[in-house]
Amino acid sequence: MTAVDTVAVPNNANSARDWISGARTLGGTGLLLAALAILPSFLGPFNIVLGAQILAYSVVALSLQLLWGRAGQLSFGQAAFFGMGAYAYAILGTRYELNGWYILAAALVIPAGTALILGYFLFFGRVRDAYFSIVTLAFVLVANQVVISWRSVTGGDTGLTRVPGLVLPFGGFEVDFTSRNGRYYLGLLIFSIALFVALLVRRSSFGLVLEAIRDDENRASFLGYNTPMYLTMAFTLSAALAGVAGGAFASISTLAAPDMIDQFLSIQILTWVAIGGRNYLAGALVGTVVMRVLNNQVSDVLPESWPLVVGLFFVVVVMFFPAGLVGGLAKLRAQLASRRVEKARA
Amino acid sequence: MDLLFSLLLDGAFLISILGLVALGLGVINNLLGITNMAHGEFIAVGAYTVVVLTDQGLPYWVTLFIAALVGMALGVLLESTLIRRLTDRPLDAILVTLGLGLVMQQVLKEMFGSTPRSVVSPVSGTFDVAGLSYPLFRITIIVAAVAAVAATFLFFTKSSFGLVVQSIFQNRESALTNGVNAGKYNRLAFGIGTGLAALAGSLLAPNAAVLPTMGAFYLAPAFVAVILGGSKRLMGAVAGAAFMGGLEVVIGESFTRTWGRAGVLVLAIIVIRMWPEGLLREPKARVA
Repeated sequence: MTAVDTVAVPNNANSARDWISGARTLGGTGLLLAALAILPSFLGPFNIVLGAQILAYSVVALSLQLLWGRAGQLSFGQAAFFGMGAYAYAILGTRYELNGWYILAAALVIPAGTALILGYFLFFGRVRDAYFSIVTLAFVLVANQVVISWRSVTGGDTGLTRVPGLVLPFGGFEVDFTSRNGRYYLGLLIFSIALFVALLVRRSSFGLVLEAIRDDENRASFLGYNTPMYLTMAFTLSAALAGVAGGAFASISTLAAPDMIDQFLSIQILTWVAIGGRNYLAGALVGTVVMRVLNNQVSDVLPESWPLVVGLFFVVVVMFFPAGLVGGLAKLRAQLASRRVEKARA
Repeated sequence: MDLLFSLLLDGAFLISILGLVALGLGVINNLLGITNMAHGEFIAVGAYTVVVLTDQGLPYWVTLFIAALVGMALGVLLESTLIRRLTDRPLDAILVTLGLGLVMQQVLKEMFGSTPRSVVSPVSGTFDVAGLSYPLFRITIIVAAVAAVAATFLFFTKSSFGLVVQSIFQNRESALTNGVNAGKYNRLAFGIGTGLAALAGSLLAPNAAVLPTMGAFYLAPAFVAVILGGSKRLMGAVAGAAFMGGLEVVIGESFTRTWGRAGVLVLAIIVIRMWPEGLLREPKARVA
């Protein structure tokens, strides 16, 4: 067994090492969240909203990492679920005086239910890999068309503006996420929940079965796992996360627009995960932050050329660093570690 | 009767364009085992080639051939520089074509702007039968597309190149052990595929707003057509395109165009669920 394998597959480690790695993950996550919690005091007003948006985008990247990195099925339609969440939030929020929980629940349930139905037909119909990707791509194109042509409800090309921020009642009092800092903390809250869910999946037997399916679906089904059901569940969970991210994004940006549910956003989400490292949770986060911050910088200099930068950067990363930035670093670390072991032996 | 007539011709028009696109996608898909996600952009490349050349005064029918050649040359170039390096990583090859599609779209946008361009129809007048009329040009396009599909079919069934390709379809390993140079055929197949897409774009140009994103809507139905056609025979993609295009026109006429597109994809997903191996049965002896 090579050093790379021991890094990528920690499951065979003994329980003490398992415990240590768990504690390290927990500590790292805690530190990250604490740093993110105090971040707004260092940011200007514009950057706070940008930060909140990046947090919401990170959630949709995590949702794709769950499906692609963990279960091996690449969805080109992640923006469809994100957009469905955003529009569910915006439509309910602007039209009705509803309890914030109901709106948030709609942003979760509608995309998740759609993914459940779609996943049933696709995964039980033995649609996998590239075929699955293209069908999800078709799905986002259709969703975009529906949003643009259903003007009376979705506002057509202009979308919905003046979407109210989220207010969540907790028994007697309510938490208001409408202020600028409030929007940031809404992003952080959703992000923390999504990160928790993703870590849970990674450590659970559910996550292990997904990885087994990714590596060899035949073998997994020989072992008695209902693999289409597992994939459908992963797809549904992924869509639920993407939908909540979209709902939070609509609340943070106070609008819902057709570019939240289009092909380009889908491809961008995919590039964030691929550039960061598709097999790593941290990859999804690193990729999203790098690409969003870069987007912001490029838009100032070359306003129209962002897709060109995304495309070129993406091609280079896929060709030369298929494991992404985080994957490349992990490989480097493993190489250094194995060299140290060899030296110690010699 | 009036409606049926225009429905039939609209269907034939959509099917002939979609058939060309799907045929190109199918050639690449079956031979290289990857999906060319930049296929839609090659449609736009073909259409813009026609825009540029007809502006220079060249006759439309000549620009068709040049557009197909431009698409083919660009495809061969991309295959031999990028895709070739990813033969053992097919999923990454798909991602690379996706990135290339973004790049091509943006380059077209920067060269030609995002306002739609148009091409003047080279044939005017209408086709009149029993008091019904239809633009004559669309009919010539249908004929041209059918001719192109037939030519591709003949090429793959009669030429020695095509026969080798058929043998790779049937059994890749034994073809390679018999000394087939896979790299050469991959390169040419990719070029033929993108050339067909560019040809479809050039046929579409006088009938559509020429935009860098004009091909986006053809990729998904064309891909579904390839799945429906099954992976063993080339013309299956055209049959799949007939299914997709025909349904889209019928549903689109009964409801709206958006619902036509949505409905077709939903139906296609159900069909794939029921016949995952494709609509056509496996051929016994002859392929294509």
